[in-house]
Amino acid sequence: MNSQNPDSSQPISPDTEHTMETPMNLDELKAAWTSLEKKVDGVSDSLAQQETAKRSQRWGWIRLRTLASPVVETLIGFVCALLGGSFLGDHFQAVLKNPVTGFPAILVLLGGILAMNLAGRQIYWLIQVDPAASILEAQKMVAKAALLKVVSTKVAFFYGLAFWIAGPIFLIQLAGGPEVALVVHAGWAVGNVLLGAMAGAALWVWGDRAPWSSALKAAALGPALNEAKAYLKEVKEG
Amino acid sequence: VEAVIDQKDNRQKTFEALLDQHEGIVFRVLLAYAASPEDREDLAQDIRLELWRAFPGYEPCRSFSTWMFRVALNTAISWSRKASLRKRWSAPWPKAEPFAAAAPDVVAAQALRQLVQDLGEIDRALVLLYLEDRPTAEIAEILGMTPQNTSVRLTRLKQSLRAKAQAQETPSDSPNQRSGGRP
Repeated sequence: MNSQNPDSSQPISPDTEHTMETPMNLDELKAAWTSLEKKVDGVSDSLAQQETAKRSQRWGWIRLRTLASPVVETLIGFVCALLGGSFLGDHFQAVLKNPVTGFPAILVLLGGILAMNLAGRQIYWLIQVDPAASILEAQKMVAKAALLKVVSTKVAFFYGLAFWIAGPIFLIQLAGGPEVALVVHAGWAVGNVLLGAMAGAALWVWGDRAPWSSALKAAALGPALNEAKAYLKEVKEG
Repeated sequence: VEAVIDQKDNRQKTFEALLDQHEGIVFRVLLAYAASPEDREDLAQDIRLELWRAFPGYEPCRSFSTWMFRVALNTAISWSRKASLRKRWSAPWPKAEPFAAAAPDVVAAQALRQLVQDLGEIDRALVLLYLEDRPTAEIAEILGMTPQNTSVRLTRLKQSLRAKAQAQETPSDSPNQRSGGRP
């Protein structure tokens, strides 16, 4: 595959560079490509020379970097779900007496479960990615993980804003007990929650069809993944 | 314990021998996906790591080069997808970048790189495999497409590349100039 050339160690000279303005036909280009020598500036050492320990160390770091975000999301979700669930369990009788006092904890619990679900699925798809799989298959896995990341970090964040009221009230409740929630103006709190519910429903119904939603996902997925998805669609249709 | 260590050593030796033998695959993937020497070094390390990690799953009865192409291309595509690197990628390719190559053909190879850089990442993989003279069936296997679909896609890409190459050509070019000074 690699034809050897005695001059291959020489870099491109300025004169040679000057003649680059004019491309050739495809067959000539192909022949030129296949005759390239393997050495390239920036990759001077043999690929096999790197020590195994260093390889493993760097690979571990890359893996950690990739999985860090969903792992942190899972932990936050777990803490939220744990706190919300514990609070409901500890004040079960009080919440039964005044159900309104349980809403912040329920929202925090549901938010935690949702975060764990989205992040857990991201981790699952990232672990499933097999670098030795076919390109479309591997990119499909990456696309699924990236799509979930978009949902959890961008979409869920914006729609979660409507439910922001639950967080502070819940924190106050943790310090002062469930009855503290009754101090908050009920209309204001219910209005926020209703707004959040409506936004969530709108996302569910129109999210995939809305141009802004498609643009958001396309921007986050990147060209390679969109291309992979388009290819997959084409292959399926073909 | 010694047997396990021996097995590990053997695996490493086999891996390094195969990597040395097929180093050109990584080299060409680097040329297609990474613009600067720094990027190439970075991507080369990522590819090495993924190859090493995936190596236990390699079945010796299958083609090593096909397996290596899959790993290298998947790594390169994922690498170039990263936002920060995409930014770097969008910068124009350094035209006078020196790299060692077969002297008479380096001009053509550079010209080809200029054409390939405009393609999408998966189209780039397809063109790369075509340039490597891989059979359509193998290209289809690496990409995960049907051979028919691969042929259609490849024909379109070749037409597109040809058109781009012709569009860049100037009327004053002589055949000698076109081939970088070759007779």
